[in-house]
Amino acid sequence: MPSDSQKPRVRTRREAQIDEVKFSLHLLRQSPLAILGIALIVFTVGAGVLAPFIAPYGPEQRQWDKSLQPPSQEHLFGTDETGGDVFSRVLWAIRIDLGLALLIVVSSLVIEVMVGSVAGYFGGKVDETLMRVTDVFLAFPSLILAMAVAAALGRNLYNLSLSLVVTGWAGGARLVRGVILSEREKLYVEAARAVGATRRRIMFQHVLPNAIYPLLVSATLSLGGTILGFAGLSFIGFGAGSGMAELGYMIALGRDYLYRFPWVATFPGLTIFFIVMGFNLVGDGLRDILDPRLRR
Amino acid sequence: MKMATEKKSTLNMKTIVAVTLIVVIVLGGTGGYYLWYLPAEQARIAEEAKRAAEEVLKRKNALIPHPDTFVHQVIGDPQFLDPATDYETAGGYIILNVYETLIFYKGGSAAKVEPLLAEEMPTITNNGMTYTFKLRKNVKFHDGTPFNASAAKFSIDRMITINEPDGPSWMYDAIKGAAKYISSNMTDADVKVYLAAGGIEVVDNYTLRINLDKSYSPMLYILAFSGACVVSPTAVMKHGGVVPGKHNDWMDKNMVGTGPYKFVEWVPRQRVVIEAWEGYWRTPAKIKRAIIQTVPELGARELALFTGDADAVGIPAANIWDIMQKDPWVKERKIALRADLSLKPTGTSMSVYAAYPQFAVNYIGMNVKHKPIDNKDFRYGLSYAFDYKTFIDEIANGFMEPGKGPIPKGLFGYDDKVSTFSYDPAKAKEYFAKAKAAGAYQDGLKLAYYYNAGNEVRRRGGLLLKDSLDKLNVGFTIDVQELDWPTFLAKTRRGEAPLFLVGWVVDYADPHDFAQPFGHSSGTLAKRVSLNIPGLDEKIMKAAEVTDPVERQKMYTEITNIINQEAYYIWVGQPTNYFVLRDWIRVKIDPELNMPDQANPMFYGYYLYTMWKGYEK
Amino acid sequence: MRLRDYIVKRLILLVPVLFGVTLIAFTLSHVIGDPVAAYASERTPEWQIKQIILQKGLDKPIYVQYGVYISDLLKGDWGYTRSVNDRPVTEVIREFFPATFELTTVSLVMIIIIAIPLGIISATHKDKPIDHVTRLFALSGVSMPVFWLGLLMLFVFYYQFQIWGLPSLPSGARLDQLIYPPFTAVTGFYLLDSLLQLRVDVFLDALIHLIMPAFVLGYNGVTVVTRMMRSSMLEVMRQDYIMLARSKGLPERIVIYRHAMKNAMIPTVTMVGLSFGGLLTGAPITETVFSWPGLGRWAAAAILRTDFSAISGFAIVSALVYVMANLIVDILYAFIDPRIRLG
Repeated sequence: MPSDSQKPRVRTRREAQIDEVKFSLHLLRQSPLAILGIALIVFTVGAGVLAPFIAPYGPEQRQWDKSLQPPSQEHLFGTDETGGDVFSRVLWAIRIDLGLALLIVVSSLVIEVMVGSVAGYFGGKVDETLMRVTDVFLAFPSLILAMAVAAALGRNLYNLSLSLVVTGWAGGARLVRGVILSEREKLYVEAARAVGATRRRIMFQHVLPNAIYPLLVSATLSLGGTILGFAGLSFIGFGAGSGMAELGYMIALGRDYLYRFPWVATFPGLTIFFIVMGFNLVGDGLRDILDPRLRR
Repeated sequence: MKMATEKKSTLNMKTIVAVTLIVVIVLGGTGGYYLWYLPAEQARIAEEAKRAAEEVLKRKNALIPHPDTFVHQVIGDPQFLDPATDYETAGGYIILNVYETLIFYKGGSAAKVEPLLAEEMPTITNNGMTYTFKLRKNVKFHDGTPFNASAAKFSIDRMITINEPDGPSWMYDAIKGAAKYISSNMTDADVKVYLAAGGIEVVDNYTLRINLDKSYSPMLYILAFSGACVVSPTAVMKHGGVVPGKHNDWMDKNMVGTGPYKFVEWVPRQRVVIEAWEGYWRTPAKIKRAIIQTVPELGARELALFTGDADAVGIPAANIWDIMQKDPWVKERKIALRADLSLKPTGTSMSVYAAYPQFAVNYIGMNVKHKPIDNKDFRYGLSYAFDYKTFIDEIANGFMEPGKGPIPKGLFGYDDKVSTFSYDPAKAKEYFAKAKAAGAYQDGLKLAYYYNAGNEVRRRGGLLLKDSLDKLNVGFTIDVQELDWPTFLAKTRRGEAPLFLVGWVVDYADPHDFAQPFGHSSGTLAKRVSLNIPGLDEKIMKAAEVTDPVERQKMYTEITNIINQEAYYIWVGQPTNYFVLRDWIRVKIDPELNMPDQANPMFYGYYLYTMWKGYEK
Repeated sequence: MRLRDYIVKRLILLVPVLFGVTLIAFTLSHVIGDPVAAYASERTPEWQIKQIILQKGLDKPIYVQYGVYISDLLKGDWGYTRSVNDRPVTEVIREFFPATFELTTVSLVMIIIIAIPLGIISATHKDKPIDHVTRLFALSGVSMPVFWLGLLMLFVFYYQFQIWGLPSLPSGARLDQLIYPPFTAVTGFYLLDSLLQLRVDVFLDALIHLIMPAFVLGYNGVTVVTRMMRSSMLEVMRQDYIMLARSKGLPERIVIYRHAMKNAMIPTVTMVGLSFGGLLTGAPITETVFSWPGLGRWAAAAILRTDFSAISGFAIVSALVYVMANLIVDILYAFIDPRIRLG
């Protein structure tokens, strides 16, 4: 008689999911660009998290008689126009930029999932109306809307974050809705319905978990975009002010000195570049990995 | 025996003749050499050197970009180009070159005025209440119409009739009937009343008489201010005429005057273009065309200056190191009074003419309407907590004089020896402790400090104060906030700003222009800090009427001491004016021709008539 | 459905979108901002302010105000902007529109002629060095703060090149001020005007002034479209009909250009259309960095001064343009892809 160990065992859902994750990690390891991205993120995020321990100076510690000094042993990235240490300020600024970007993306995500699910779930008139609303938000030039909201409520970091959430959710909501709509047509949903599962059960237990993956990719990519938007708006003059350590604001302040004292604006700019590059590389890598057509 | 002697004499004759010839030749040769050849040779060498220098000069001049055009990049656009309504520096600059007044400042002096469109200084009669001007003949406007007394009367009457609330008309309220009109509803009936009062009379075609309703010493200088510029009546009437209380839109955007330059175009927020006018009543200007471009971005302006695209640019004091590169000349620069102007160019191909303290005062206003600023010890604490030296040396890069009071250095009424504050952390701590003990405030107090957007020096001033307060650790700090200019103005005007750093620039060169706004309870600046010092109002009004300079100086010293002791203002400094130009810009000061030169503290911008482009000395 | 019906349907859907945009603009300028500020300034006397309030119905309830606002918009009264000497918003828009339009158009052209060939090359030489370089370039574009890139380019191409004696690109401004004989624009679109007046020198000069700002503005778009083109080419090349074409013995070039590219273009066209919206959004920052006298620079300055009439004016104009562009793209899309209009 054939032994039990030779009969193929049916895996539980949990085991299948774990296997999939393991496979994803395996693929990730094989993609050099994605690894580079992870390295960049770990490096910069780590630097930001460890700022209180490794930054030699505080975020607003100024030495007025040592302004605009080139990089040296004492000041790794030189000093800025008020005598603040650029290296320390960059480290402190990473905390603010990354932290707020995370907040913005997560808040947007919540709204996107809610709106997108409702649209996809109910369909019909509800869907139409919600889509018109997102159309309006998409048509309105996002930068202008963000700036106008920030201007109206007062120019500080929190209002800036709020305005970025207001402008950012529309695209993601459409994505969620699209994914849900396409998943709805898939066979497994029909199968579940045939078995008698309620719409809600289908939604939460089957459709949404599958929708997570593209959402994850889009969230990672939009993290980079949010940081860029945040820096860009701070550069023009919203958000950070009066000496705060924030990357876009530091570039704005250093811009007047770009030709003679380039380090003031270059290092914050490079930092933004590396962080965003990191997230984009990882996001790209994730997209390639999770795309079922490229997977096998 | 006879033969031998004869032979000897022949020999002697020959020798004498030979020697004489040799001597003559030698003398002649040497003489000739020195008298003809050498000078000729030297002249030839000198001639060649001169030609070589000319060649070098020509080649250098040939490298000057756009030699006939002067390009100046500035931060802001003019508001209006009409001298009757404009009251800010960007428009004032253009107006200075296109329009003219009857009298104007002499050379670099802000105290001496000389006739410009007037032929000679006015005769002042009737106890200082009547000014009679003899006007210049053969002067034409840019549209060809002639300049005469009725044109002058038209211009000043027009400026008063329009009465732009943010404009210059308030300064001319000493003219008979003007004060009444300015505070009226500006209906046609009010205009009739004003004209009937006879403040400005046309005596004959070239004689103008101005009547005041009281004796007013600053009047002469006020007439040198751009508000009294003469505009072409024909042009005004052709384009909308004069409407009481309303701007003439066309005149806001176009200019028709008598000055050395005529208006070509104004593309808003981009550039103003003016051209030298051939029909000017003096020799036409050397620089044929001037383009004043509005470039808000500092980096773009700096680049344009380095590459020669711009001949002159506006650079804020906070960024002056980009140009000066910590030049040693700057370290030993002497901030001279206007009387001792040394326009010494510095640097390689860039010139920075840092010549004199400007007639302006930068200060931090402390508004006593907001607690605990109403506590005098608190204000004293703040006054001792400001690091004046670091502000001047590090933030303003040395382009500032220490401030001692409302009246700036170089202006009559200034006194070096008034009582002032200094940076003294120990004393500051003492006074804050006193204030805290009296219950004026508690630990954790945070007051708002405002500055206008874009002004780096003022932003850093706030950060400097904040750092000092944090170091003092007296439980109080400030919150440095940026506001855009219109909002900043509105907030400070309404008295809503507890602390703010701003400046006040001179209108006319008389101490009353500073004492009244800062010290009088109805003064426009005093209102922003809710200032009310009993007894001071009378002192200020009396000082404007006194004519004896010694007595007047004593009064202004007293007024300054009183204001300083009450500590409503922290005098952070008096800015030094400077010009940043390429070194091929030349300025000629010709004392014969009554031309004001560049470094006159009453100017906004360049007086292009005195300038040209070239490397000649 | 027929193409015409499709167009009509899309046009009808425009209306609610525009309605929504004006609603947001109205909220910003009337509810959050001070509506009187759109028509008055600090200098306006009291009695005139009262007149304005009466005329514009600013003492009536919100929906009446909105009605007045919409009717004013349609009449052509968009208020006054204090960022440009209190001139009427419509006048200012008309004045600055050509500059921004030329900038975004040249940017768009750059995107098309750079990104599409680059995407194709990258796809056809997948995993070879040129592919990696292109992908890195594309990624850098999406990661780089655009204003920083603009500053660097100005420094290198305008300043350093002149110092090194190389031919350099100009900064700011749309034309050389000192060009001779002097040139007066008629429509404001310098490229068009110079051709109409047969001034080739002015045409070239305007083009040279456009290069750097247009490149910086479009940099993001170039990289996005490149990636899109690459991935859609890759997808198309995997299809069966490509294998069929190859097995028929057709030369590779024909396979790529005649069959693959045409089909890969479809999603790319959408991307190009969407990136046009991105160009409008990026205009304020790029125009500020290069001192370009267009709508974007005006908008950025207006926002910093809380000049709400300017903000809503710019918002409505750019929403209009964006919606129009999308409409054109959709129509093109329907034209190219028969599945859309038939399905």
